[in-house]
Amino acid sequence: MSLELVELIEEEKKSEKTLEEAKKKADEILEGAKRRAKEIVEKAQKETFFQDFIDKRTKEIDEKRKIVLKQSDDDCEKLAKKAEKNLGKAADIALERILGVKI
Amino acid sequence: MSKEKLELYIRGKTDEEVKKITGEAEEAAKRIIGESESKVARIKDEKLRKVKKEMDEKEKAEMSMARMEGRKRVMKIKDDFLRKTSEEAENRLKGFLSGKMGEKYRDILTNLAIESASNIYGKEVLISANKRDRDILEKIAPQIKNMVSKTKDAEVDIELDDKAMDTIGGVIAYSKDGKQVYNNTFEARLNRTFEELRGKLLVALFEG
Repeated sequence: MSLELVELIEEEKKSEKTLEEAKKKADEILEGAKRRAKEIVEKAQKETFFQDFIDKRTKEIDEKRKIVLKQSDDDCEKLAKKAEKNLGKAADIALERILGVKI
Repeated sequence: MSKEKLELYIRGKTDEEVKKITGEAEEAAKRIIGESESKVARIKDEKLRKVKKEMDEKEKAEMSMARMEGRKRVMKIKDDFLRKTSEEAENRLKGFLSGKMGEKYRDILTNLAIESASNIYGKEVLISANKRDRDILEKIAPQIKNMVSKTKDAEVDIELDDKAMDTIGGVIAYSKDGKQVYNNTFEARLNRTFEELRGKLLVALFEG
């Protein structure tokens, strides 16, 4: 075999080796991507999202609840004032019923 | 072709192939990561929808509880004032009973005795009262007997219990066998009044 042919065969072998390494590197890239994708999804499944949203809504609900209770307290205050004023009249109605006559 | 040219050709082809393999792998990796990011976006969407729904339900439940608590507070105010009215009526009643017992009281007692005796089925009725009222009833017993007999359209025998009963006033009528009882004491009338007039008293207290 001539020297030139031997050198060409050597070059061809180098090329095959380079290609094999490239394939190996490609496999590593793909494996790395799969691993990373899996991590991204797993992290998303575990993560507690929207804590700010939850906090904001919880605060809103609490405010609304306070408004409803404040409204009923205001109603109670008005009712109590009115009842305080009318207590004597109501007692008279009851007494008239108990005695059967007005006194 | 010379050896050098062949070597250059082989190297060129190899580089080209390496670039192709690496490029395809990087593209595939990008696609995989992209798909996982899309999946994460879907998960987030789903979780957001779930959280929104949960918070809406929480709001509904909290508002419902708050309204219920509000109604309870209003009901408590109403009950408190009914109780105060009952106490006030009782105080006024006691004040009235501690005053001078005139003709008006005798009329009241007469009416209570007639009402209770008329509600007892039969011709013999026993009437119990406290000492003060018994003394008054003794004097008006014939009048009561006449009125009850008239109401029942039959001769009725009214007997006064010798034993004085512990009450602030009013009477209890019994049938002879003791099976029928009509309690017309002021305590019983006070309780009945607040059961029967609840609606009217609420209107008087809160709408007047």
